[in-house]
Amino acid sequence: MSLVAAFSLTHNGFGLGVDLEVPAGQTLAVIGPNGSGKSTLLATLAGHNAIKTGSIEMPGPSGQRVVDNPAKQTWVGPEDRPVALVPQDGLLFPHLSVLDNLRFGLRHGKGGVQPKDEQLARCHQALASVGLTGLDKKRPGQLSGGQAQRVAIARVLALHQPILLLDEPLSRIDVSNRRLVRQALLDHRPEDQIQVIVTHGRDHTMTADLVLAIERGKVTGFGPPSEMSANPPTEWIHELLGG
Amino acid sequence: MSRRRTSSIPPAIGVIAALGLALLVVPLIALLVAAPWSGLIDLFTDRDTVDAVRVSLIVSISAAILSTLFGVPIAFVLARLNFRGKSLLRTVVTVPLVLPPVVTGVAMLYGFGRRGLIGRTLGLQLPFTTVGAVLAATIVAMPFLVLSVEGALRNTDPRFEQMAASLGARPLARWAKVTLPMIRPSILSGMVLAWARALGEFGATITFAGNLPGVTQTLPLKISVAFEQDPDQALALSLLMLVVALAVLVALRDRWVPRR
Repeated sequence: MSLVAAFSLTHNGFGLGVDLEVPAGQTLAVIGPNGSGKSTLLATLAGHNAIKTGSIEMPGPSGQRVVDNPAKQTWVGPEDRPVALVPQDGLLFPHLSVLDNLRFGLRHGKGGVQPKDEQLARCHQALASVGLTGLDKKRPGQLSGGQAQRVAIARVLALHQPILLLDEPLSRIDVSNRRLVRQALLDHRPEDQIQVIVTHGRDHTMTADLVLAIERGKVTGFGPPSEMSANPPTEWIHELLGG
Repeated sequence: MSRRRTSSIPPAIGVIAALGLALLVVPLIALLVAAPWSGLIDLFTDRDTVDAVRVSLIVSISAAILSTLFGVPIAFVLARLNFRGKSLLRTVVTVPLVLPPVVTGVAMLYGFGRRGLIGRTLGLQLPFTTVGAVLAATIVAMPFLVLSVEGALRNTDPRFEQMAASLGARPLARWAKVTLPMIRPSILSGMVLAWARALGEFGATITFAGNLPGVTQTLPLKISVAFEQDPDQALALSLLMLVVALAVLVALRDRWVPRR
């Protein structure tokens, strides 16, 4: 099942209109200049902003479809969406240890794992996948910026959600650990997981299955990266992907 | 260690500051000098004193707890909701900070007294009871807690709650597991401030709850009575309250104010 989003909204005076479809198991790279609406798109998919028109259809964890459609009044809150979000600054809970941060979602029912030892196993597995085994008892305040970002990524990997939303997940991570985290995003994904990744990196964009370009709140390009780089629809896309 | 060079001030400012400091410090030193050090133990173990300490502890601790139970939700309303009349609500909550406590006491009599607005209808018997003293102390102490917690809530990034929501937490769980723990230091320091204010409460208590030994006579009331009959006892009790006040300030600085 695919993620289908066609909607428009106004958030803090900023208008965003989007039309996209991502098939199961594929990765969508979202590109665009600063302030073009990329983070707003992720927050909206996660259910933090209400859409005005259109709808968002998501594959649910047990095969059903989860639909947010204001016209049909089928609002679904963030806690009930089959998504997991990593915001740009990670937003680890400062009062919880790394392990409790990782376990937070599982404890509150996302991820569908009940027994405590299974939850812990998942957390340790996710932490290991981003190369941070042994940091489970630290507080977020004791981590470096890059470590915190990796913990934030591990926190959503542990949830095995149908849709993963990542806002510049590699921005604070050093070069050698970037490969590790990108590998973790590939290895740790359930088979049908859809990943939506906001990125400024050419590599990351070219390895995605699909690319969505947003400029000033409007879609200026959508398609496979090879097509986008061969025929860049706008100057900005040409600058990032062309040549 | 070039403290002098980096923070030099004009001499005149220093002189004025020293005068102001003297204004604060001289009475405290005088208290220490005049205190009847040799007879302290007898004065502290006097039955009336023990009663006053007991009443003071019961009243101030109860007031701090009540202030927290009511004050935290009020702080949430002030920090998170937008509605007409919000500034009026904030004024009502903070007015006991600036109102003479005796006025608060008079107002309480007309509200919760035997013949007061609510007191008459509900048949309340609050004046001259310990519960009455607790309520008086709560009203004057609560603003400290509300302001402390509201400030903390305003400084907490609301996206942490959004994050908790997208990790699956329902509203009550978000509140209990994320918001409350994140503002815990401010709740604790607000509680200590409210407790200290309740401990020192005089005007509203004597007006609304009276001055009954063992029932509503707290340490400050006892001190004012003792001052006329037995100045030595008043000095000893004043010393006790000074020690408590200093202890509160030290505890607040070292433990409850988060180090940044």
